[in-house]
Amino acid sequence: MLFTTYSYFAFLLLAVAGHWLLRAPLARSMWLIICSLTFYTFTQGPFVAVLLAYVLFNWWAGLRLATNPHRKSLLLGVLAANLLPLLYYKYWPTLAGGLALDAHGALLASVPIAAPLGISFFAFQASAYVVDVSRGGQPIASLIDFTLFKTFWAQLVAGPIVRASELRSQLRVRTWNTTASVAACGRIVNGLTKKIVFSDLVAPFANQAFQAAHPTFLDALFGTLAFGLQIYFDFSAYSDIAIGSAQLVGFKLPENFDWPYSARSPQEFWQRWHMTLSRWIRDYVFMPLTMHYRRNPIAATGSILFAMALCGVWHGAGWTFLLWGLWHGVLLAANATVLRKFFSVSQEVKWRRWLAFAVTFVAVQLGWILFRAESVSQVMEFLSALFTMRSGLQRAAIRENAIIIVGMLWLALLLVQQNRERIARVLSTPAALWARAPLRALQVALIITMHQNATSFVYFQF
Amino acid sequence: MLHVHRRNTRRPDTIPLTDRTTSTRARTTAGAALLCFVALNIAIYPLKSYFEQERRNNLMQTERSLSGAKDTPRYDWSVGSEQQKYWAFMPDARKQPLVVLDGMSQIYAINEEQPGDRVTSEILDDSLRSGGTRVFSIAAPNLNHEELLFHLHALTQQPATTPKLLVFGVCFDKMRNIEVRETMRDVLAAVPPLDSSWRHSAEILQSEFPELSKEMFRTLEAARAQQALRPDQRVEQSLVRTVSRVLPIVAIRSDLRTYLFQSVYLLRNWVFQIKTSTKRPILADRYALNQQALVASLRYAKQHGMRVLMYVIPLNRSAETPYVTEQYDAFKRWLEQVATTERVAFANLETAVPNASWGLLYGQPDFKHFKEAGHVATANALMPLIRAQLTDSVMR
Repeated sequence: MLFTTYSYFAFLLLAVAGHWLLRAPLARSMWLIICSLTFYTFTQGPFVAVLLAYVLFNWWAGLRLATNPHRKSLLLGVLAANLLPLLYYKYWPTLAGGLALDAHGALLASVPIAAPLGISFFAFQASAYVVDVSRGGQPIASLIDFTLFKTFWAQLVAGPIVRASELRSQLRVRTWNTTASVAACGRIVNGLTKKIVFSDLVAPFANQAFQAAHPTFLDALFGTLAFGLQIYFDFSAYSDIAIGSAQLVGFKLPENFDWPYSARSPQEFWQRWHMTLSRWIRDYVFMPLTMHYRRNPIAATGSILFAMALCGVWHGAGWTFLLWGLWHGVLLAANATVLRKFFSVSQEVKWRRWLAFAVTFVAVQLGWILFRAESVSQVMEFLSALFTMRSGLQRAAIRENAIIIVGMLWLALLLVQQNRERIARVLSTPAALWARAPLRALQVALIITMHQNATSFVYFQF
Repeated sequence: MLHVHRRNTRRPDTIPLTDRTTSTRARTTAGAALLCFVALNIAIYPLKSYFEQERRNNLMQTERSLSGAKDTPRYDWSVGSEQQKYWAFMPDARKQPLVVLDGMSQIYAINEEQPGDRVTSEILDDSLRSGGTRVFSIAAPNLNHEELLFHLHALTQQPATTPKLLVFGVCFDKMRNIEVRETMRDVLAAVPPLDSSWRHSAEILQSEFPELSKEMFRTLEAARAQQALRPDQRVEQSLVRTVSRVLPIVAIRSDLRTYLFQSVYLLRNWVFQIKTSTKRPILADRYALNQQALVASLRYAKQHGMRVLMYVIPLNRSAETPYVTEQYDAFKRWLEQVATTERVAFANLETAVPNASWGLLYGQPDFKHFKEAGHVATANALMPLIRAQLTDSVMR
């Protein structure tokens, strides 16, 4: 059930109404668990068994880890058990690809396996939980609470990757108020606008450029810029709808995006982009490695590369994802060492701030080529088109509209993010309050108008 | 690197709107927004008939297509969305020779349409019916050649829909279009034999036309992904229908969308001073892909026992085209060469329609869509060529 379907909103209405009609906290939790499992079963059918296996196993593991004196070996076993299904579903097809033969005895590139939706997210969340418990954190003792924590639909399929400590206090006590509910609806409407109006609008342009056999400079440039917009609007839209939906039943989920394209350094970018994943990588991969190698600066730099490479392959089993992770690893390593001064956020000089912003922006957009390309050779083709300015101002794949729409959307996004504080001030004036209602109505009308058939969110594949 | 996440508890990635909004103010705003939305729905309702007129003005809809399948349609321009419904009216190719006319909007659009006007395929059908031959046309606005290949795969799924003769009108500017549309992909995913014959063709074409083959696999992948997304389609569709009954904006959303894009398109033309005659050079990759798809289509048709007549569509000589002359000339030369190599019949009907038979589009001379007289002229030009192909075919 996609967040952009009418079915989802019918489901949400039922779930929210049922939740607040029930009085007892336990009944509310049970209701949300039923809703969440229905949500998952609706599209994933039998895979709900994998999800439930994760729930039961990690609940048991959490309780055992809290009391077991031999925590380390148990933890390793639990982590292996958590990550093995992920390896099987996500990476085995690629790893085993070279071994598979077709009917004529020819080698197949890979044998796809249908994977449970969101397995990367709930496997990482489960692993974080058991690590936290083994570090002395409190396990969630109640199976109902734990099931709600693991299966809550709003964060189940594509995050935000929520930690037990963030949700624990909300698992039993949730309050409702008008302001929060109105804000939640606004958040959902904003998310739908990002996905339906913006992301789905630019997605075909990115596809056309990345499907070109011989992209020119303009194809590569606007294809990359289109994908930069698409992935930002798509994923932040998902997070907005997830956070808004959760808020309607009293949950406060952590934020996932904070104007990432306004970053003035690679480090700042990762503090603003997919924040819950970067936090996960930081706390469970990077920090332990850094602590381990704290006396060896080269190994510490290697930790950054390793952590970001892992972040890359988390998105998919492919060289391009690995390279994307390594690219960001290199950027972060440079940020922490040779370019530390250049990227310093406390720069006083305006033009230096702009330069740092521009360098970060270009580096991030170049990274998207690695992320979106289907193969390393396509990456090379794109980079060569960009850096040799292939065919000058001619286009081979994208049409005029792509340039106009992508150009205007980028301009609008950069202007809004640059002036966001000022816009927020203007919008909170009494005069603007009057304009807000008709604007919201128009926004909903625009969403309905632009909504065709539901398209999947980019992050569903990860 | 990933230092302390102070920002994780900061404001969300949207402009905060409710910082100082009290509960009462929130309620008022929400109520007012709801009222505005209801008012908008009431205001929008009368636009339905206006949109229908607009579609006709833009040659997106003709009188007969509005009435759907009731009038025993002799052409399908549903772009896959109602393929089953329309193809049910296709004359049975096992009982009589069937001619299928395929192409872009020129096939079905009638400029300044009058009641009783007929399109090319209907005129051809009326003329050839007495001799036992039937004509049906399949058209789609801006049809590209991968879509032509899709049409052929769909037609050959049943002997009853496999024509004796395929007549295809080639339009130069369609060489700028790529990708099989979503509605057609739905058909591809929904019919397993069609899916497998498409995959089979994509595999066969891998060595000679790698780009086309890749594109066909992408189409297949997209079709399957679309299908996978819609296990709950029935629930979704019935929900949309229910909501449509209550909210007019949902009922007319596709017209609104067309209107919105149309307005943006006109705004673009105004801002950038783009006219229908503004030159649009070919896009090399798209052009190459369409070339491959056309050749593959001709071969596929012949492999499935069809004869093929390919023609360059008539153009309005009194209107300036957006074509770069050298590129257009090279295109026609290439077509002729392909026709010879692939041994299919070829005709250049560029000048077949007289100046008086053309109309206007957005107030400018339309270089591609004509009045009924243009359909008559096209049918007259095609008739002897079709007869020759059918006679030859029967004799063989």
